[in-house]
Amino acid sequence: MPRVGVYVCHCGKNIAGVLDVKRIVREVAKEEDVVVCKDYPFMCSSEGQRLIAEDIRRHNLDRIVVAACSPRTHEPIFQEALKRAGLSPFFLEMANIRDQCSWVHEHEKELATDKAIRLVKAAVAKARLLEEIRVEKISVKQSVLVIGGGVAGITAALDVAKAGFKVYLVEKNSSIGGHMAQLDKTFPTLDCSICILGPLMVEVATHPNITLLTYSEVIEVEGYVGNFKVKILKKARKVDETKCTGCLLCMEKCPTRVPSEFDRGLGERKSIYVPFPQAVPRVPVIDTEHCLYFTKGVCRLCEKICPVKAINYEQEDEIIEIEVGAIIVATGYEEYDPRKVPEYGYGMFTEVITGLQLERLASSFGPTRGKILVPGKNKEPQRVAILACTGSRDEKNLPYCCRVGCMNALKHAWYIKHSIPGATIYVIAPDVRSFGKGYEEFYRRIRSEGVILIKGRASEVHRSPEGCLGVYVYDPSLDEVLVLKVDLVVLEMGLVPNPASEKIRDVLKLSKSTDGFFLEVHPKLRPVETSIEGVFICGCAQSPKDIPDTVAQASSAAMKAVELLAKGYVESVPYVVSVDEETCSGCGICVSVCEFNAIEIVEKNDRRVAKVNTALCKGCGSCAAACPSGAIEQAHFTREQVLAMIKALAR
Amino acid sequence: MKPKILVLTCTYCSYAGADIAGVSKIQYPPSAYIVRLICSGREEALFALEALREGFDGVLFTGCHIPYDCHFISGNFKARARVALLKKLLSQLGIEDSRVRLEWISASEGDKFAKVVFEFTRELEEMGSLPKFRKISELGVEEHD
Amino acid sequence: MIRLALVSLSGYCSGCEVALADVISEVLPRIEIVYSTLIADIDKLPSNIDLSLVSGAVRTKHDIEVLREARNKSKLLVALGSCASFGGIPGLANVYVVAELLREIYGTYPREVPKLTRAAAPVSEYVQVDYRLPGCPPPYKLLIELLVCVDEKKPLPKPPSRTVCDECSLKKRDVYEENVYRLGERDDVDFSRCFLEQGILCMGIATASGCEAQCPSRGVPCRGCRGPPAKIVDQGERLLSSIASVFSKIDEEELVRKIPDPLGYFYRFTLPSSTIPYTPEILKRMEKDEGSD
Repeated sequence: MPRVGVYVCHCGKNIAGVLDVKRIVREVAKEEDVVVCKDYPFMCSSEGQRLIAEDIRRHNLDRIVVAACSPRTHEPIFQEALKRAGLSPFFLEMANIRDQCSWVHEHEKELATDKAIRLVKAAVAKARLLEEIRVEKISVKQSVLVIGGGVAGITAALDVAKAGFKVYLVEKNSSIGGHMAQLDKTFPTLDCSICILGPLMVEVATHPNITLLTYSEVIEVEGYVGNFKVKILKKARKVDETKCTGCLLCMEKCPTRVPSEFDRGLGERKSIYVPFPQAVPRVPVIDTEHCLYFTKGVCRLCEKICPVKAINYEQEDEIIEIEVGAIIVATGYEEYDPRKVPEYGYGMFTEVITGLQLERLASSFGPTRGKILVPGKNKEPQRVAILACTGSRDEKNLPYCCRVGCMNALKHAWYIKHSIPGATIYVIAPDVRSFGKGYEEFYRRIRSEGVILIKGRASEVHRSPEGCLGVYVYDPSLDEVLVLKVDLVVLEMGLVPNPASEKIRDVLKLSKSTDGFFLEVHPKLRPVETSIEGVFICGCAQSPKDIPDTVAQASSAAMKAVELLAKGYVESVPYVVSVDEETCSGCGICVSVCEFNAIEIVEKNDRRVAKVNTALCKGCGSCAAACPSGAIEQAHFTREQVLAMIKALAR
Repeated sequence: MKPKILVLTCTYCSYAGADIAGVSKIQYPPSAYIVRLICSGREEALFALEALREGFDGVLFTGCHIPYDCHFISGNFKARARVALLKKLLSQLGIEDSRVRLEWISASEGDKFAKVVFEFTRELEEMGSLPKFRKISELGVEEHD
Repeated sequence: MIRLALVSLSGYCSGCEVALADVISEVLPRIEIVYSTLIADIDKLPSNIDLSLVSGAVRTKHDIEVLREARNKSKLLVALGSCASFGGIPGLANVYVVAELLREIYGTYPREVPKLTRAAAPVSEYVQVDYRLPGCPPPYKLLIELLVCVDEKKPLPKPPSRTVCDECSLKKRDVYEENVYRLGERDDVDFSRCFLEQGILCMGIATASGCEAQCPSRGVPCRGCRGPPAKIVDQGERLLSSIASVFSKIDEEELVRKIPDPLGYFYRFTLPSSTIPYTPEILKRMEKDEGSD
């Protein structure tokens, strides 16, 4: 007969403030095989855990039910408590009477208590049937894949590499650097962006532990924590990386001109190019869609000029296969499409640009060599409106805050003020959020420099009769609609996940939040972990954030990966399936439903029987649900256990 | 009496979604009882049939969004196929097929979880509860004349 | 010598008795038929019966009386065939209330029909059953084995925990078509290969072994007459969950179009002994009757 101990947590007032904990204890104590039934203010406290351990010894308990919060967050804690008391951690069952009861039925205390009693009884019903589970230790591959070569990926890669582990950094573009490389300066310190990022990019390229794979994409990931098998598509650059010296003569001689993606369409590049002078690696790539040789079969100038014969038009895409223990996803962000906010006239008026476009105009290696000129007019703007919060905090567009728009708007005001001292600058913002270290000070500084701040949102941008643009904005302090006559409008766009991250999401099976960014396990306590063990997220892939937060989070993700690698092993999935060979009739249904090739049919004593490879089994239980003879059972989720719960809940 | 709903969830999406409803304090009727499985691929028809016989008024199958969200690749497809045939079977048995419902709820959709429970509860209220099943030997003989 | 009673309940087709007739030459020295309304014209149950072989489903008030009497007078009572074991084909009537059923069959509401129970049931619903020998008809080898065991006072054979697949000689590749076909719908059926793998519904996967896979080996997919293997109670549910899993890539509407009658396919022989053994309409009707009393 099992001896069950039941522990009902108050969780302070979280549970006890709604549920009648004493009534739960009274009712559950009557259940068959329940030897001990207690309540305690905080079961997860060290005192609460000690209580369980003590009872296990004193009352010889062999099954434990903890009625508290979600097993997703707290099961490991209580499993450890069981282990410490010498009991198998798999003799624990949790009843979630907080997240799925007291918190969601706050106003129906009686009914909620009735429900909680059933939930706990169901947990007891299952606990009585729990069986021992054996877990194996599986070694962890001593390398990490970092996806994305922006400041987040760069930071994470360097941190892991410096801890002594091998890193593969995969970037889809031909150079690392990401959006930070496009910025002229960073707020609030006004550091030159590439001056602080450039050295890190070089360090990545030269670090002996880092293999840098640019112009490459992750196309397939198999396996599990500690043992991921990754396929990477290395696109053909048409330039031999081992020969190229980075002299860029080819780029100089190339006769074609193509709008530059790096300069956000404001400048031009060649068909053979590095996207910006500080690119890492400093190896150009041929854009076969525009190259004269690839489109018309003529030219081959670059091939002729290259002093080291590095141009190779025949070079083909390659697939590289690697094995890693952990994966860090740092796929970053993209600006929200300004055409989705059509009232501001982006795409209609050349004088309307986005924040990132202004960065390129302000940059000394941008299309105007750092002179801020109105696109299409080639003259300095005298009057500028900067619209913070474009597309953000807007139910019709992006409901969330981009966390950088306010500060970017202030920084952009500074760019213009210092480039064109006499210019009139309006910053239109619903409110200015200057929450970071040094941000409020920066805000005061910009105000003191004569930038005009208007609280509100612009309603429209028009072509005014004088030829300039008119920005309509309601100013609540004046209770008046202002029409600002300006030469340039800068839209501080909201941030959305990088479109390429959707592919990564499919490959890794990651969850996303309602805003589309990758979902963390817990927003406060486990912000870089995902529901896929061994896969970590950081930077804007997780949510919009500024550079300091991105760098901090990237280091955190690196730490999590290092933690896994340094430990050296993971425990096998406990809830795998097993086959009763006496019952199995070899129908092979399980083989066909398993997505992980974990089951095969083998001949045994002249009979066909299913055999499970527990190293490959992920424990989804699909085969157990499909097995027609009842030969397959999933540990911890047996048919008998689930039915016992259903019966208990139905009572 | 509110109708009783058995909710079968997977661990990674729908159970987490229900947790999020809790963390966000989104209220829903205390009629929904969650049984956690690892994946919707484990959700078999028997759990629903047993629940309906034992006194539940409705069964909600849940999982990760179709087509690509399932952490076990295709558990959600298996749940979908089983629910489709189960619904047909129920209608053949003279039981409203809407007593069984399938919903994809992601780990962030706490609001959707609550909304679905609300809607389903209301629908089940309109349907009324299922009679309590008895052994055939207790049904007796029909006196026809 | 076994004092043998053949108890044929109303929901029967006499197939089980024919099965017995098949093996009669082999077992004749061992048996003395002391009761049978069908093949011996003895309509009174004697006492001291060694073995009652009950066939047919329980459907009338009279069935229950005869069954209880047989139980009282028998040392062993065995449910013979799928109807007595699980309710069988007559069990499919459990999706109707009696009035509807009679109207469906007779058009009117005849007084001559004996009083029907509200739902068809396996024998085990009313009396304790010592052994079940399902099959439609029951496999003759198992029938001989049973009679020999009883005659020689050996323990009765163990009910099989394996399925028809275990005995089936059709070749398997462990790869399934991603579509479901009716048998006549394909002209390229390979009759030496597993039917289900070719998308043709075969119930052998969740049907107890013991029949030596006679149907599939003769080009007919298994219909499931032997009922569930030992570990399974609800054969129809297993078939449903299992087959749905295999063909889960077919979209829902198409799947239901291809398998339009899951009750008929999956519960053909076992509805009255399944999880939901009858339509709740029967309960509603009963509650109405009780209310009007």
